[in-house]
Amino acid sequence: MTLSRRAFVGRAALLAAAALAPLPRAAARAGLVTAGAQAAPDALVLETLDGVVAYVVPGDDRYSTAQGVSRAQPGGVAARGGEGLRVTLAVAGPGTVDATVAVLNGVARAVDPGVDARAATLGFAAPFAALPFAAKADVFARLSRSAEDAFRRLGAILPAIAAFVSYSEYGAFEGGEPVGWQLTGYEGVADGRDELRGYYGGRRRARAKRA
Amino acid sequence: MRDVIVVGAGGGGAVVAKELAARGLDVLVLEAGPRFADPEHDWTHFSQDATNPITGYFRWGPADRSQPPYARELNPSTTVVQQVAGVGGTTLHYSANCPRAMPGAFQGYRGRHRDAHDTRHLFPLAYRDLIPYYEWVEHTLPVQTAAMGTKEEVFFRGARRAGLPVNRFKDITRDSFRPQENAILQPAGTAGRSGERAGATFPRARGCTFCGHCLEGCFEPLGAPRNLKAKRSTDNSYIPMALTADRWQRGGRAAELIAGAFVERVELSSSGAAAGVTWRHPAGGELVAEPARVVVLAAGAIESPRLWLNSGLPNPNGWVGRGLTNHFEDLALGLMPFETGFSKGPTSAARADFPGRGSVQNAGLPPADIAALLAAGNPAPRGSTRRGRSRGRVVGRDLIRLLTSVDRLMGVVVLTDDDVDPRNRVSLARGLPPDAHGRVPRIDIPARGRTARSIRNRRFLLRQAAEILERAGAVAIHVNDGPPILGHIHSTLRMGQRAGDSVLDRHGEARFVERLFVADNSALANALGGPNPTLTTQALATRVAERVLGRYFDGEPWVTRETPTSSLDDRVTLAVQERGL
Repeated sequence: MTLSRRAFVGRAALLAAAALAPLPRAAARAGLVTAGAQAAPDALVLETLDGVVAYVVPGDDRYSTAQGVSRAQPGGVAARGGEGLRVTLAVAGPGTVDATVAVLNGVARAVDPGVDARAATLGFAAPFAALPFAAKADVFARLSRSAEDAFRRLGAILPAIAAFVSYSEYGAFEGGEPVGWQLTGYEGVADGRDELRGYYGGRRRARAKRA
Repeated sequence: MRDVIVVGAGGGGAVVAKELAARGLDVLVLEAGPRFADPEHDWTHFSQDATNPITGYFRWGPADRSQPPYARELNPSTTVVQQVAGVGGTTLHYSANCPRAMPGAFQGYRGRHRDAHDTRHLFPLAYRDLIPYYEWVEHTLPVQTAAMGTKEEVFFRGARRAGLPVNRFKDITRDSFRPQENAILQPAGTAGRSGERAGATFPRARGCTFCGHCLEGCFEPLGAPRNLKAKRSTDNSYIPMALTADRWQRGGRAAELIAGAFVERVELSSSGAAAGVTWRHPAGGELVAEPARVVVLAAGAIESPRLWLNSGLPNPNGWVGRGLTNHFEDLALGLMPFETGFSKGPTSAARADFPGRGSVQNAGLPPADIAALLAAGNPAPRGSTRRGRSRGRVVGRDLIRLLTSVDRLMGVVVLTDDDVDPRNRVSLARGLPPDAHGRVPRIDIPARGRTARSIRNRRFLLRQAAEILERAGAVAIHVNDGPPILGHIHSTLRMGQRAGDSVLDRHGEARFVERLFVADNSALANALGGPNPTLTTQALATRVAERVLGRYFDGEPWVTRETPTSSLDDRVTLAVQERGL
């Protein structure tokens, strides 16, 4: 089966994304975004989201190297997971991408007040991308404990979306084997498989029994 | 004026439509989601295309996928809702598991474990009264004893070694394991014996091809007529029958189905009885007033109470939307030192049942879906861990390690017999704005604050799941301990023994609104004791159809007097082909 569903792939999975719609207002209340501000630069957005994807599915990319947890094989970044996250969050509503980026980088600074300097040294525009692995975990832990409902939702949803996109076919719709299939040894989609093993005890029917 | 309007073409609505169309009534089915008229062309087996809850073809949203999905207000906000809009409803992505309910969930049960169930919220009928309707649906779908793939062999080995006896019957009377009774045509010919496309093509292949893509919608075998597709989701079974009732039943009249039609209000007569609906036309978006003699709500356990509340229908005892049960699901995942075929075959073909506590069943998923589940686990799990055991969220190297060989995993889903609790409910949102169809639903169901019995049952079932996995050979076991999952959603417009805590009488008719019936999972009185709800909902929907015909159209009951026509009947197939369905 050919991978040819690019038109739909641009809006990848987001678990109940509509509930992230309150996120921009929550980010504004926290002083992390300003109404009417310009959209975050592409580099800041992609680096932040690739930083999330590397956290969930590390690989042989610079984000994984920077966090101190990497692997010799491709991971979520190679699966174009950051881009997948961006197009996903864009569906959730206006301002959700920028709010997500602002929240992650804002909490990153709270976890590590010196992270901006580290980011500059590593060549990242996004502080979150410069955090060590344990510090990224701390960011998500803080989100999960937040008094702000929208932040708790973000902390729960974002890793799941990152995992879904990274292990899906998203990054391979223009060719190649999906990274997720390589990581899992998945044989790929099929119309049928040689997997029938017969019937338990040879039984083809269950009888009725009066309870 | 229509005889009957059915709101929703899912698991229950399609049943009512087919039964009453076969009796010659003028039936209109209004489905909010799209109709997938050509699944082999419209669907793929890819997770991104199908199981995306925002833009996937199985999302809860409008037919136009360039539009956002419909919103829900969730408490806690981490709740995961797994529903589908479209002709076939949530049966489009279901696993087609069709166990009967536990007999102890019904009034009058005198067997063992009778006191172990949710005895304050029993069904207002006896289990034996429902059996003829179970048999009718089981013949119609049809329901068949499932064959094994490798993962079922592994599950059965574990269950046997754990000391569980095998259940050879349809009915559940003791702790036991068995093959699933599935609404899936079992494999014949080359089906299940070939990885080649030709080997999955009708008529060489008949029934389930073991493709492993139940979740993405069943269009196998390739080239089979719609009513001969393997999974008996209602788009493949009851809907084709409803649309061709004039061809296979003397006196039958084909139902009319309109997809993309969102019902926004139930209208009442001056006497307070249901008198029709107002719905929004998919083409122009204009509102249409459609009168009817009877209205049947079958929009699902979230949308049916939403429609009730948005219509301002009577709710004198406050139970509309209340008593939500969801089987308090969890997942135990085992890592095996051998191949399990986790990603192959039907999603689930093996189960174990524990009367008074609930059920467990095996499960297999594609990589993206299992990865998302693991990453959505509890970030702060409680409970001790030891060597080879883990809980909660999995990310990073741990996630990659766990998923290194997807076909060495073994999933066991826990389906708890959870209590009806009025605090768990569907109501109308307070914080989200209305959408184009009115105030959006709010769902309150806690991750942890459940009744003591519900918690006790879930812990028991997790121990059973772990033992089955260990006995099957697991070298590591992970428990997801995730957010509330609403996959099985029931009892939000429950029928009950008492008028004080139920919305429907024992026939499925609204206590407060004559000529209004409910025929989806919201009508269930409780969590059924744990088993998957669809078969019971479909049996009750059949019973609702009899009641509608008898009370309002002077008809006679038929279930105990006639032999059902199977959805596989040649007359149905011929009509499906001739009408291009």
